[in-house]
Amino acid sequence: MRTLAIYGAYFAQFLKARMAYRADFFAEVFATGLGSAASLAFVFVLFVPIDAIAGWSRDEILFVYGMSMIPYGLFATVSWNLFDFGDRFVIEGHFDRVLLRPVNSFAQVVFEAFRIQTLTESAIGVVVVATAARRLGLELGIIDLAWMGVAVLSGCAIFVAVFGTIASLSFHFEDRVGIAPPVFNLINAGRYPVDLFPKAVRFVLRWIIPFAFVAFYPSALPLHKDGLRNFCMATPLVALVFLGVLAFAWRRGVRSYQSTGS
Amino acid sequence: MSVFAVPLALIRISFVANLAYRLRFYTGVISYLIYVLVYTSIWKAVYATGAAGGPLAEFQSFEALFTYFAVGWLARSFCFNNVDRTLTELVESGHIAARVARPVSLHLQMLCEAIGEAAFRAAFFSPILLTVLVVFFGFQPPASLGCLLAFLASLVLSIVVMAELNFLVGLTAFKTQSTWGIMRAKQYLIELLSGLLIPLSYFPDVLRTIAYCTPFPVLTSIPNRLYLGLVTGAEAWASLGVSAAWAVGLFVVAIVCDRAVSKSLQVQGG
Repeated sequence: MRTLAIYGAYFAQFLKARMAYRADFFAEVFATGLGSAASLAFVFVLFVPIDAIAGWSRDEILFVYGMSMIPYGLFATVSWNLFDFGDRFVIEGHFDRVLLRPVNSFAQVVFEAFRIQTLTESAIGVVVVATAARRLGLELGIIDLAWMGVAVLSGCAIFVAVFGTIASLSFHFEDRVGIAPPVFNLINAGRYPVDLFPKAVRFVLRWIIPFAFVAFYPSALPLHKDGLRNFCMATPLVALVFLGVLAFAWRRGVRSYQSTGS
Repeated sequence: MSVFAVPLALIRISFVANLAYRLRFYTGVISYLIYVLVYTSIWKAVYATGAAGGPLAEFQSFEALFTYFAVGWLARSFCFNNVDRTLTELVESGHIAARVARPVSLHLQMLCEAIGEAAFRAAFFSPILLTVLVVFFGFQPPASLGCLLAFLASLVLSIVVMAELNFLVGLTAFKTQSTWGIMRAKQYLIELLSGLLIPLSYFPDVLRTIAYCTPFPVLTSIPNRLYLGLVTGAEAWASLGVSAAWAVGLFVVAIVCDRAVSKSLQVQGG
């Protein structure tokens, strides 16, 4: 409880600072929305002359795409520090400050900087999912909606786990090379039916960097893709396993942190 | 000679600076492979639906379509630069003051930085990507020697267009607190309207007209169509003319904006 209050205070503090530049903030929200719209436009244009690819209709693909945008937007609000964790916290030694406080070190890093304009992406995702569901004539019952809630949380957890684990590697290697960008580019692949991709990519998307479980597999339940039922149900489990990997990797990393000596 | 001495020195510095960080480009190769794999997989499925006869008719085979995308990403790997990000970081850190104080305009500094990076990419990055793409996938050679030369000429103009677009986006950092959203929007707009993700011939008419009103096709569509020999003769010259017009136009706009912004810049003492 006390911990939650602390994160709340972090967020309130950030919000005050951010809202000091209000016009700027709304310009940023607009730009984020424009970016999301342009990335969605790919799907729309792709399906102008055709009805389906590999047995998936436009609205089904849009449903999956939207289901991926929602957790991505949520994750992106707190991901700021994960991407330059190696530079800011390990190489410059700011991690000392984190260790001095009696709150979980990973949570401190994640909740220190926010980017709330990315919630625009989540909001657009909700609209896309709702529209696609209506056009598909899906009758989403309470179970479907509850499941989609679980799916969004699992999706966030998978993003946090993957990029947190990559960040924790910088405790061991001063990673100026950047494993994160190629992994980041894979997010997009998780928005399409995995069957489209070659075997190796499919394997990676399922078991190594499990972005197929962010939106594609969990969407099988509301979309009634019964052939994917088993993968679909495994979603929360996959998220938990990868959070476990993150916890392990982070603890190992923190233990080997040596500060900068300055 | 003396006119070019300063720009050449700036280009050399940028080239060497990139050389020092060349390791990070190697993971870039993986990034590009992922792009090519993901998007060509999607297009394979599209091609299989029979769209080949209609909007994709100008591509004789799936190999031609694959070549279009492979060459597109290859060209991007060559023209890409981080001028917008560099400018943002300079403004955020305040180092911009020292840059503006130099006797060379900010615009020329950034343009040279982009050209130096392109030279580095041409020497060390694109050849690796090219090799990997040819070994793993194999794609069609240019339609003819003339097509290759036209392709290369259009790429040089693409570098300028890319650099100036990034410069203009980077200038917004002078006016706003964060350029993250603008840079992201620019990236998606470029990917869509340049023809990198979807050949422009596949677009609905309205969107294609919109795309042709922007400088973005200069970055992918024009070079790729020259490479594949989809435009030849007088049309090819006209394409190069369009590229050149955008390069010159954006160059002038960038100079004007640079003057305006640099003049209004206020740096806090300290």
